[in-house]
Amino acid sequence: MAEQLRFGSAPESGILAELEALREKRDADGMITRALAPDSNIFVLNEVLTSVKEGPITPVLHRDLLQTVAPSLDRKTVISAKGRTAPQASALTAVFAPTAGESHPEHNALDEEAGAGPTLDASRVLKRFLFVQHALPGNCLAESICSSPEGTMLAYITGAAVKLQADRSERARREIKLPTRDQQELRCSSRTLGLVNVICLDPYEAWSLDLEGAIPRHNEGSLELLGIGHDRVFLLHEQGRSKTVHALGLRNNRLETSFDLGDGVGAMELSLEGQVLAWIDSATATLVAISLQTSEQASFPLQLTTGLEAKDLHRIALSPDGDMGLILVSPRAEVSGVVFGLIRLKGIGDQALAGEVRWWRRRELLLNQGFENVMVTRSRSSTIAVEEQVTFYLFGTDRALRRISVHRLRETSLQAIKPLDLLSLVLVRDGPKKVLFPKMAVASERPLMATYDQVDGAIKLWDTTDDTLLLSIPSPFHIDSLHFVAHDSLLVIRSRAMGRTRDSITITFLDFLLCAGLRPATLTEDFLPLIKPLRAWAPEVAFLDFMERLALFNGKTAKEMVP
Amino acid sequence: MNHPCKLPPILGLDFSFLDGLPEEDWFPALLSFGLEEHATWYDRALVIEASDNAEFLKDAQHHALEAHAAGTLSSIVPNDLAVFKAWFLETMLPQHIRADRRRISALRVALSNLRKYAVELNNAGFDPRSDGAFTKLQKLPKAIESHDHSPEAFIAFVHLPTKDFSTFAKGGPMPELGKSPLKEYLNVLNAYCQ
Repeated sequence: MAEQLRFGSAPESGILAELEALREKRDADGMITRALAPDSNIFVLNEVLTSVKEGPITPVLHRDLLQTVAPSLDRKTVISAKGRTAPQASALTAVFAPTAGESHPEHNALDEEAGAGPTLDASRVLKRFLFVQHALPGNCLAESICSSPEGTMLAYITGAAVKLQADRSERARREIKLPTRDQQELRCSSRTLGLVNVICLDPYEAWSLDLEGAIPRHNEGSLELLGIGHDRVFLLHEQGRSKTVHALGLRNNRLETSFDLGDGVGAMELSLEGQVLAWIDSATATLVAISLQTSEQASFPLQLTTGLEAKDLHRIALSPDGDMGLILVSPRAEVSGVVFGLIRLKGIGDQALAGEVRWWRRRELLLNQGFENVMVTRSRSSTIAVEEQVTFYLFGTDRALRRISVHRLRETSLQAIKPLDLLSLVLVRDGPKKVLFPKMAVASERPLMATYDQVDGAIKLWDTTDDTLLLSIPSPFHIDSLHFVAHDSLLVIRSRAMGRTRDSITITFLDFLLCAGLRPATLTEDFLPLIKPLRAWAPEVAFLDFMERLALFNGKTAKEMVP
Repeated sequence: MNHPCKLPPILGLDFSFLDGLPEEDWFPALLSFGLEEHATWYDRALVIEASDNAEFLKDAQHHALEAHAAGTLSSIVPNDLAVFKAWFLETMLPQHIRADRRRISALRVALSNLRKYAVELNNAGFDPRSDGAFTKLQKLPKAIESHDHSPEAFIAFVHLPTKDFSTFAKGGPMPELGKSPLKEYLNVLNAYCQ
């Protein structure tokens, strides 16, 4: 398991060993030059400059750089390689563990103000940006969470309203005083979550929707959030075998429409960009697609091959326009040898007809394993004006990431595609272990993608323009879902734990991690728009001051170099 | 006869109820005030603070000397006021009050420890609003459990500084929790993105 925050695919141990050798030679300039090298990052530079500033030797070559950033260098805020470990997850165990010093309290801890402790260790600085709990209003415990496709809205099912003052439903709940213990226990066992907290991130606004009165029998069965648009939030209500999708108005807190999916529903997918809700009807082996705007319904027979059953299909992904669909076959269902199918939902010309299906076998694609998860993304590039490309990323059981470009599938018949041209490999990771509960998320504005699986225990952040690994973040808990929000500057994570229905939501400040992982020379004034908001979030962190000073210094040097 | 120097208010606590009493009843009245009527540790602290009042000490010394002269008090009463204060606190105050005096600093530490537990519970995802949340806890004291607004008290505990919290615990209003830093962050971020 990767325990440390890492940038790129290469470990830092090499550069740290070289720096240590230079330190023993008392070569301050050499250390700084090494820390400025392309394989270094800003964390390393900060650590080196701080140690040089505190040390007896003054650098000659990099004197200007040291002088510029010196006021922001603080031993207490250095985030060293050791300090970049994951925060502890077992805070609860610590609470209930017997403490030795409890009967003899230490008097130097008298009247310590909350959050203003005298000691500030390195990992605590990093904790201001990595897995921040309680950043969102309410208590940040959610049963289910979703974000809008463009990352400006966030919604989660919870028990605590966004405001501290009790709202109408909470007041009503508090008024029910239960006389006996038996009744109280009975009430504890029933699901009492009845709020959807909605957070608009641009401009910031937060409010709560009350499910009581809006959704009939909301506390029976289970509720799950499927997606959130500008005006509606979509909830999946499962009661026994029957499934219903409710659309709840964001501003009026009213049930606007409901789609009854019937009993035999298999995998389902909501595409808000394509305004389509699609699901597999296991009884008739068809893919049913319904338009969210017109409620028009279309069915496509799945033409299943021998040995393949509708109940084996475990995941659907729809392209943003709603014209192509990818259906994954569960890797556990091996009889048919089929790994996935492609289905065309909208036809183009004579070559590509709507309803065309093709199932792909493992053998023809030269694959050993099936796929656990699939995610669709639009490739974005700000520098090259290329036609927008839609890509399916597939997370394999063998921990490899593969991609299919939808662009190529659009205008040709699916039957005409050569199997070996279909998939391209993004990355194979080492290790014999199979992937466990892989999760994926795609950014909406930046070319970023995040993946997580329980074996690594780390979130990997990818650049989708060239499929390179940007950073890997060790995660202290298992992750249920990942969401890019707020112009892809924040990664919202809902953790999952066995036997719990409500889990905490944490926020990771990606801008901080991406800036800190840059080569020291590439941090210029262009990055100030990323650093400034972070200073509003954590004004006391000296590391941000360091980044700002370094960016201004680099910008100045670059201007001097040009003439 | 009215005592010439009435006790001025100490830390905002009104001692005017002593005015109507004869001098010899002052000490028992103060004790009962501290122990029975306002039996929170804040108020006990105030009684002990009152012992720092020079007039009160002189008064107590006078009574002690009289008692010594009458033979009801066997030990020797110190003449120096500072020495008398130490002697008074050690000898005259009942054992449990003396322990309280020492515990007063321990209680402050306990409050700080309590906050640490609360913050850790908060970080661990403890939901103060779920049913029976407080009865299931073992470490938080009954004071929070039986508070009229337990979830609010818990949130206040986690987010407020000690001083504001003690105001709130004594029945004061819930102070503003301050601006949301996430909102500040998003405002700046959104401004740059436009």
